[in-house]
Amino acid sequence: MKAFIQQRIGGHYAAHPVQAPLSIERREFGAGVDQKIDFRHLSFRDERALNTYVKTFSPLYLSYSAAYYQYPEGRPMPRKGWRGADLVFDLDADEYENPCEHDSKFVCEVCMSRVKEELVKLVEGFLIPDFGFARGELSINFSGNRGYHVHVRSEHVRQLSQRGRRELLDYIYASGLSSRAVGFRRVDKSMRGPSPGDAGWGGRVARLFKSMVEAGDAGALARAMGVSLKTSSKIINSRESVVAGLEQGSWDQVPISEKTWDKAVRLFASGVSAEVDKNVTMDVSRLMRLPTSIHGGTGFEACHVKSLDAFDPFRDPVVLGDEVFSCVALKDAEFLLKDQTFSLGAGRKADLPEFAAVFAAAKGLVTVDGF
Amino acid sequence: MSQAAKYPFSSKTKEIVRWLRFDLSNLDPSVLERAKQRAVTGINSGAVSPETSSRNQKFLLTEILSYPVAKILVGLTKDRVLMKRYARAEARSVKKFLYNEPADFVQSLAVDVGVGLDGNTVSFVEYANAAPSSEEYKLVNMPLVAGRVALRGDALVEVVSETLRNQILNDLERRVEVPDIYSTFASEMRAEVSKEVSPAAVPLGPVESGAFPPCIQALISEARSGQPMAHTPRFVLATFLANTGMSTDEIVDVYRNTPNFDEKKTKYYVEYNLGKRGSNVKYTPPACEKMVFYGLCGGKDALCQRIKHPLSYYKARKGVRV
Repeated sequence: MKAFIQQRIGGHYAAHPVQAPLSIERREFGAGVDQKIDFRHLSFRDERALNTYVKTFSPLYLSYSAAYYQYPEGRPMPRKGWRGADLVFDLDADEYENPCEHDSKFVCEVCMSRVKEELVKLVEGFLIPDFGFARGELSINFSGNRGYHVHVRSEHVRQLSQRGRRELLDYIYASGLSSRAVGFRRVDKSMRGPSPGDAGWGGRVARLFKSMVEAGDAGALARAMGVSLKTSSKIINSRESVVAGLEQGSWDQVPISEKTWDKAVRLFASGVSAEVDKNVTMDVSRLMRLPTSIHGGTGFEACHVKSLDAFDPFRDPVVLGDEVFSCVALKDAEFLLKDQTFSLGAGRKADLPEFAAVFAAAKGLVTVDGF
Repeated sequence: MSQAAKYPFSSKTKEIVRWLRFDLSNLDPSVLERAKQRAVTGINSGAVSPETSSRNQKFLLTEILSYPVAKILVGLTKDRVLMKRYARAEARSVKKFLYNEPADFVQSLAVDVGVGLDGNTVSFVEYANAAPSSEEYKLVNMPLVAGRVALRGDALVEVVSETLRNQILNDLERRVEVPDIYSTFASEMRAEVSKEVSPAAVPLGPVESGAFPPCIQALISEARSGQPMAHTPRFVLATFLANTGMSTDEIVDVYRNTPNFDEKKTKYYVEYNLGKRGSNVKYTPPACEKMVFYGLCGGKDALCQRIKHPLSYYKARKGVRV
């Protein structure tokens, strides 16, 4: 069915050219039909040259380097002359514990909203407040299949080394967090700690603790901190003095031992850290799917997400047309695209609009007449 | 002059060196000799310990010049293990001196190495690249807001010394045109470096897969299982095996069961890791800390608790002194 998919994607590109990434002449490109990357080390001087290539070969997968190179076509890698790389994050439904029971080839609203949840934590919880990126510096894209990519385009992050990117991930994961280093310590007989207004993880832990105490759910607090229900009830019963203390950096009202603090803080933090695919962020010569290109495994566009709230991953990236193709289903299946439900019965004929025919063919659900 | 010898990378020292019109191709042999010694001491002991208490100007000048020359000698070996150890040793010596300096001096040195200080804050990019690893100053434990890290305690000393370490590593990888005599000194230096330092230099005897650490055993099973293998574990396994002295063909064989196995390509990558191709840089597998980070450590056994590097595990099992 590759020939069919390739033909339809080619047709789309004829009318909808792909957009060049920033500094296209410094990027390496990769393209593939049989797999994600059949060819790499490609380079294009401008958007026009890129689109000429795309129209000629109609690749099913098109990717570009987060890195900037002096000679993007150079090989092996060290000859390229690495000049820096965008900071990128990859969030994929595959990465998370999934309550869904469907085949992992597919995604549903439940798994996609799980990804969205992590994405919001990453962007609103870390990238904007702590790392100080402006909203306009973050480009959020649908990956074309099961997740999202975040590209940070600020010039100063390009120089982050691999080691530096690892530190940044450790920050986001709260990995290596130490209660003592963020301010929890016994001074004379008093337990001191961060206030909700403090910067970094200290303040984040204090804010989270405060909001949980105010919410008053002893069970939830016990689980979040790894303490007994008796202890968490005690904390909640004296919530007013606990909260008043926090504002002054005093944690005397929280009856846990100094030793328990470190464990409690780490456990607490793990609940608010964000999860991403670490390998993608660490890899400074990674090829990422080109935004505005079509993903050959779904026929969806890897489109820019303008508003995360309004974005519907089963409607907005569906850009192929409505021309009808007669198909034969290979198995029973049901899927929802563009607010329409398509039901297939094994061995039965089905007339599908282009966007659904390409999706079904790419997932191995149908054969298309004439291909 | 004594300060200049302690901090040979500072703008003041550089000024002195420039003023003396120091010429690489016409150097007093005593400088080369001292530079060799500086590199050997650094690599073997983990600190360069420059002699800075002398009052003799000529002596101090040799000390100062030994810094750029030692960098050239280490760079000529193209051995990443030596480069890393040497850079760490220089950084460590500077750190030791800096702990005793007043805050404004540390700040001026920070400016010299290019750290963008604004009040007592630095950008998280510089901080993360410097990557202080002590619990106290690790990025995750620092107050970070709007992209700036507020420094406290000795954090700036850590940033300066680690930034310097990164810069030295960059310098070491840069090619420099020097007279042949430098290569002679570089090989002498190489020969004087403790055998234990450079894993390649230790005769490990025949490869014994039974002595591999649990993480590597697991990677081998993964490679043989016929399941697709991601890039990182592939790379880690190949570099580990290469460092045990296993031949290219034997390593290639390990991957024979992986889907889409391509003998030519696999061979290319293995040779690349061994430094026989491309950049001529020989790679070593990541240390335990990184293995944990990549999720490649499946749990430590008793011996793992005592070592920090998968290769040390192997050496310990084989009875090679570490």
